[in-house]
Formats: sequence, C-alpha cells, structure tokens
Amino acid sequence: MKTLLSRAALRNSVFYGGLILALVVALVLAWRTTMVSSILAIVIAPEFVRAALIAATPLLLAALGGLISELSGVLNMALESMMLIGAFTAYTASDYGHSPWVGLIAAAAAGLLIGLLHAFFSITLRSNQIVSAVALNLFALAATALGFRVLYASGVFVSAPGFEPLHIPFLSDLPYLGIALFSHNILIYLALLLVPITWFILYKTSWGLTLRSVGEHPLAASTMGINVTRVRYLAVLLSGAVAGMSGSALVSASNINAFQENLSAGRGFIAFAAVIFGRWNPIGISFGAILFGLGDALQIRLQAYGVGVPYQLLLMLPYLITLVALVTFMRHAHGPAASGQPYTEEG
Amino acid sequence: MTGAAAAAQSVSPRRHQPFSTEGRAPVLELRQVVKKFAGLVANDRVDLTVFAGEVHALLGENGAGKSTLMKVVYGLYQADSGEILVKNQRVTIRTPQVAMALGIGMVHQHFMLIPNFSIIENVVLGLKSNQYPLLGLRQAMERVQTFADDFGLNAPLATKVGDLTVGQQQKVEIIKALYRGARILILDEPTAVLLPQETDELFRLAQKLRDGGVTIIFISHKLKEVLAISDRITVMRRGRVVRTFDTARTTATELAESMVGQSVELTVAKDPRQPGAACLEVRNACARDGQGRQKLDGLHLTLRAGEIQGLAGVDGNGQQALVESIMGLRGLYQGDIQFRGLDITRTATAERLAAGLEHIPENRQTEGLVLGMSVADNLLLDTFESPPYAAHGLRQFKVVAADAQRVTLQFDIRPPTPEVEVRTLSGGNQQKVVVARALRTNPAVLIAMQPTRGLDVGAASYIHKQIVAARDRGCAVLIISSELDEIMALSDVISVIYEGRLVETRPAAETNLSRIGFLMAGGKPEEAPVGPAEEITYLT
Repeated sequence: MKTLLSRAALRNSVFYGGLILALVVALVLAWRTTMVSSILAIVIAPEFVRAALIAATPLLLAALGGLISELSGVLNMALESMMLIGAFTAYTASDYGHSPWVGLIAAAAAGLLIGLLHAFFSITLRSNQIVSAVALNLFALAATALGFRVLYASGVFVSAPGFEPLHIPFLSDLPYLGIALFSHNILIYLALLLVPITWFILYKTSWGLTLRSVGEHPLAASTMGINVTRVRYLAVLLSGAVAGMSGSALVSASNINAFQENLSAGRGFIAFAAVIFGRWNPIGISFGAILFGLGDALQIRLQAYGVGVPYQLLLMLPYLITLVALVTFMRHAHGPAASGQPYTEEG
Repeated sequence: MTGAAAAAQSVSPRRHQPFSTEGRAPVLELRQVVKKFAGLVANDRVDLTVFAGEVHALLGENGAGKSTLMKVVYGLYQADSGEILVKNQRVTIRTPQVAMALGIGMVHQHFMLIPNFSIIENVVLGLKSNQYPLLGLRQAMERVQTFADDFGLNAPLATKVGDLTVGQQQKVEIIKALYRGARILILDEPTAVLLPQETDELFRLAQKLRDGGVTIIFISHKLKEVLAISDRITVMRRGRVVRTFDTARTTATELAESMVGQSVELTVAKDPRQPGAACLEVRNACARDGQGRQKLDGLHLTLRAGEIQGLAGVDGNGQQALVESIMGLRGLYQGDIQFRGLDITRTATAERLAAGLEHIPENRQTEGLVLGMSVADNLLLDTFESPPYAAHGLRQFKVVAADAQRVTLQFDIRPPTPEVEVRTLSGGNQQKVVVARALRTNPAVLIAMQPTRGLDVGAASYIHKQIVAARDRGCAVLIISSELDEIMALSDVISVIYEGRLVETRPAAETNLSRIGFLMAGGKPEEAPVGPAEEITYLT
C-alpha cells in the first residue's frame, strides 16, 4: 500500500535539494573565496538551523494548506493571499486581543474566509482557478496595506504579543540541539506535528481517500455517492484556515512580532512550489519547506556578514531555489489528475 | 460473403428457454419516465419491467437513450417525470448512494475507477468501515478477496488499477458494485472495450451472477452479443421503448429492424476487386509519442491501389502514431515512407495532402473540424489557399460557396446549407463533412481512423459505401477501427497491430475473429487458431 514517500522520490528530493544548496553556497564562495571559513561558521552554527526552522514554518503551514486543496482538485495559488491576510489578521488580533492565540485563531478564520471566496469562484462559479487566485492575491496585497495604514496610521512600530520560545526541561539545555531544535515557540512544533497528522488522515482514513478521489476522478467519486462539491468546499475552506495560520507563523517569525506591507513577499508562491517539490506528499512537502527555509536563513546571514555581494542578489536566493526546484521537479511531477478542472454534475 | 456476414450468422444464440414471468417478481419497474436535456428529449415516457434473476438487454443505437435511462435509475440524473419502482415500492433515487442502498449497482461504459488508487481503495471508496473514520483496509481485503477469487481476478488487491488490463478493470468495477450489495447490476456497453476472448469471459461471469440471483441489465448496441447473453431484450429508439422481445423468440433481423425503424442490410455490399500496384509503403518505421514512449517499432505496411486494408488492434498499440507519421504529423526517427516510389519521409503535411494523401482523423470534433467555422470553410481547410479558392491572396467566396454547395449535395450533408457552423450539425453529418473533405479530391490514399465511431446505422452505412466507392475508383484505403465488425465487413486485407508492429497481414477471407482477437492480445501468429469459419461463439 501507500509508503510514506517512495524511496526513489525521497532519494531524488534529498539529492536535488542538497545539490541546489551546494551550488548556491559554491557560487557565493567562488565570489569571495576568502569567506570560506566564516560562511562555514554560519552554516554550522545552531542559530542557523534555528533560523531555518523558523523561516520554514510559515511555508510548511501554507504548503500543507495548499496540499489539501490541490488533492481535492482545486489549485490553490491563492496561498499568498491567505498568508498575507492571515498575517495581518494575526498581528492586529493579537494586538487588540492581547494574546497570540487570539491572533492565531483570527488568522485561521480570515484564511477560511479567503478560502470561501476561492471556493465560491472556483467550484460554484467554475471560473478559472488561477484567475481567481491572482485576483485574491492582488486584493490581499491592497487590502492589508490599506487596513494597516488605517489602523496604524501613526507609523509607530507596534510590537504585538507573540508566541514566546518554550523552555523544555532537559531538551532545551542540550548543547547545540537545545538552541537549534528545542527552544522554539509552540507554533513551530504544531506545524511539524501537522505533517504526520496530515499524512495519516490522507492515507489511512476514509476522509483522506474521499478527498483524494475527488481530485483524481470526480465523476468516479460521485458515482460512489460522494458529494464532490461538498468535499471540495470543505477542502478549500480547511486549506484556507491552515494557510491563514501560516500568516501567524510569519508574524512571529520576526522576533519583534510586527507587520509590514507585503510581509509575505511571495512566500505563498514558494509554498505553492513546495507542494510540487514534495510531490503532493506531506512528508516531501516538509522537506521542501525546510529547504526553502534554509535558503531564507542563509540569505539573511550572508547579508549580515557582508559577503560583498549586493544584498538584492542575496534576497533572490529563496526564489532562485524555488525556480530551480520547480524546473527540476515539474518535468516529471504528476499532481492529482483532475487538478484545476471545474466539475459539473450533469454532462 | 464478407467476414461480418459470416460472423453474424455463425454465432448461434444460447439455446434459450422461452422466458416465463410466472413465479417471478418484478425487481425494477419504470413507468412513463421522461428525461429532457435542454430541449432534447432523451427518454420519452419509457416503460420497462425487469424481473428478478433475468438478464435483460437494453438494445439500441448510440443516442437511443439507453445510458441516460440507466443513469436515471442509478441516481446520476433525475427524471423530469414518471415513476420508478424497486420491488414494488415507489422510490425516489436522488443520488447513487440511494441507488446503492436499494441494491442497484452500475458498471459504466467509461470505467469509474481511479487509476492512481489500488484495487482495494477503489472498492471501498465512499464506504464507511467498521473503524470509521479509519479506512480499515485489512478487514475489507478479506471480503474483497473472496469476490476476486470467485471472478478470477488474479492480481494482488494492492495493485494500482491503472496497471491492470481492461478486462481486469471491468472485474474490479463489478466487484465494486457487488461489494456494496448490488442485486441489480447495470452493465453499460461492457463489451465495447474488451477483446473477443475477454467478452466471452464476461458473459460466463454474467451467467454465474444470474444463477446466483443477481438481476443483470445489459446495455448494448451489438445484436449478436445481446442474443447470446440475454433472456429478454428491450429495444429503444430515439428515447422511446419500441418493444420488449423474448430472446428465444426473436431474430437478429427483427431486432435490427426495430432498432433502426426500417429494413437494413447488416453487411456492406462490395464486389471483389483485383488490387493494383503498391501505392504507399511504410518501411521499418520507428516513432515515439510525446512522452517518449516507443509507439512504432519497426513497422512495415504496404497499401495497394484499389484495396481496403483493415488494421485491427487494441487502442494504443501505435495506431495513432502510424496515422500521424503517414500524414507527416509525427516524425520517424528510423525507417521511411514511400509514396508511388518517392520518399516522402520528410515531406511536409501540406505537400502530402496536395500529392493525394487524405486522412479521416480519429476524433472529428477535436482533430477533424474547426467547430466554430462554417461547413464550407471546413470542407476547404486543406485547400483554401490555393486556386481556384483563392487568387492573389484573396479568397474567392463565390467559388467557395458554389463548390461547397455541390459537395454538400453530393455527400448528402444535412442541412444542405454550407454557410452554417459545423457545430450545429449532428454527429453523423459532421463526420460526413470530414469524409467529404477527404474524398472530394479523389485521393490516391485514404487513411480512415474510426470513420464511423458513434454514428447511427444510417450514417455509418453511408460512410462505408463512400469508402468502398473510393476503393473502386482505385484509392488505397487503410481502415483503423476498434469495431472488429467494421474491419471484417469492409476490408479486403486485414492486418493486426501489436506494440508498434504488424504481427500479421492476411486476406480477409483467410482469417477470423478468434484469430484476430488472439493476435490483438499479443499472441504469436504460429500459435493462432486457423480456419476461416471458426468463430468465437458466445456461450453456445
């Protein structure tokens, strides 16, 4: 039956992921050979792994959201809007509600609303799912900018209450691992926990089989008494809620728990790419998210160390990784067979 | 006599007992069922009674409303009016779930299987296990395995359905229905996709099920199959029930007449002809498809002037690639194509058309026609740029219109108004436009792929006549069809294609259905059954 992740796919993703990272590092090294030792120092520092995990979390949540939607046959390129609106909502709600949990729940609700819109356009109106997503992304960018300026007109940088790093007895005190893995905020552990949970639901429960059947062959599913429209709506709503939470993770990823215009800056699209990179499998997706997180963390550190490369080039790094990963993986990647196709009951 | 005629007569129906309704209860009754689609009446006041434990055939042409009616019974469509009774209880079947709860199962013509899922996943899809919401596959497996053993489905239940043969997939479909407790099993055109020997196996399975008390509704447009398998036959035409026959007391001719509403010939009238010289030669052709899969693998083919060569084969064995490479739509990476002694391997499609190679593509709507353009423009798609249809880069509309008018009349295209959009024509008339375009210029070679797919008997026999007439004018014809009857009826010579090669080419009189079926399935010619008159006789 279903293995966690086919061995070949796993070997591939590890191989290519490593290759891409090595390539990028080699490029930078070639630029400044004298930086070898200091860059090596950056990469092996526990803070680097820590930063990578923090950067990976919003991607992971958004990608898991995207996965749920796409397995049901609805492309979710609107992840960017869900993440951005989620972030804005998380920030304002934790600010006004004086708790990051209020922010998290509000972000999920906001993402769910965007999901509802996307579902309405894509499923009920059967409009082009990419067009719907592009519209939502543009809307989110403008709406959050407007909301931010209206609510925080003073321009004073307000820091909202955020999730504090946990101190886990014993584990947090371990050398290296304590800093790298065991002193994160709760959200990061929740996101990582969501990976096996999602996998279990997808492959070991009736719900998962139903969800996947609707994305593979909706007509066949409906002849087996499955209500395709209902399943797809639920999937896109859930997708929105999870992707909305990624906004909360994004806000708390910055240590100051603040919002700024276009905070997501295309991370929703990276998450979209991570779904393909992970071959529509939650385990593979988590590898993808972590790879992109590593790229993000590396980029920030290289900037800080002043490697002498213009910082704009370094900013490109995560997107470059996305590009290379997509070109490499899209070629043989097969998503759900009915992905992107609207479904009609009769004829 | 042609092969099809021989086939039609050599198949004797199972020795039937006249069907007695005594002591039998109706399990399914339809009363005055009406189903309309956007103005079109698909089912018009249909009455139908099916008794427990019978094999009831629904016979009719494509578009007669058989499948629609059964989709109403299965809850995929809602009837606009009328009543459905299951075991004498009035029921409303809103969804397939309701149908399944009433013990109705359906195996669709296009299988409703998910190729990416395993057999077991396909079978339990949509059901709640005892451990819901857990899938509980292990428990389900035991039960499904007994069905699989019973039906000779010899593949592990964890196999992906996409990796099964078509015959095995059909068994999975049947198991799916029975696992849900179906006591009435609707089989929609179940033999359309099967090899002759698989059909035989299906019929045995159907009998076994019937003997086990399952009622079977068998939808088909193939007379001899219906005669072989059913107890009673209800004939439908244009959405209405014509009559219900007792299989033991009817004949193929009687059924055919009530299907089409007039006396029809079951065969194609064709005089023997002496074939001319080799006209088109494909030598050692090798080609790959868009995904890089080997489609032609050293194929040799010779078409002779004034001869119809039939090409039998299971879909996907290189037929598409062969047509495309002959027409210049796909390159060969090895081998060559000779036309009247000239090498045309690298000649552009336009030049091949101009030289007299014509082609009826498999799918008239996606490949054969530009649906949004007029009949006149579609008739000239290959020549509209050249005189007399264009001069100095300007189209000559008067010539175009006059020519189109003549061709629509000549080929009996209805309505005979060439300025209307092709989209508005019926399927049969659309196909006539494609055929007219190919034959209008008296081509030297005609490659016809599925020339009558989905057409009613009238339109199909018209197109068959046109093809035979082209042969009589000296055209070299290649017919590629998944309807073996069509191949048997039309061909002078029959080839079988398997995995990108012709495994055998024989005069039609020296081969037969069982031999062709054996070769289509990958059998070796030296092991194939011989003898011209020997036929697969369903369950005699």
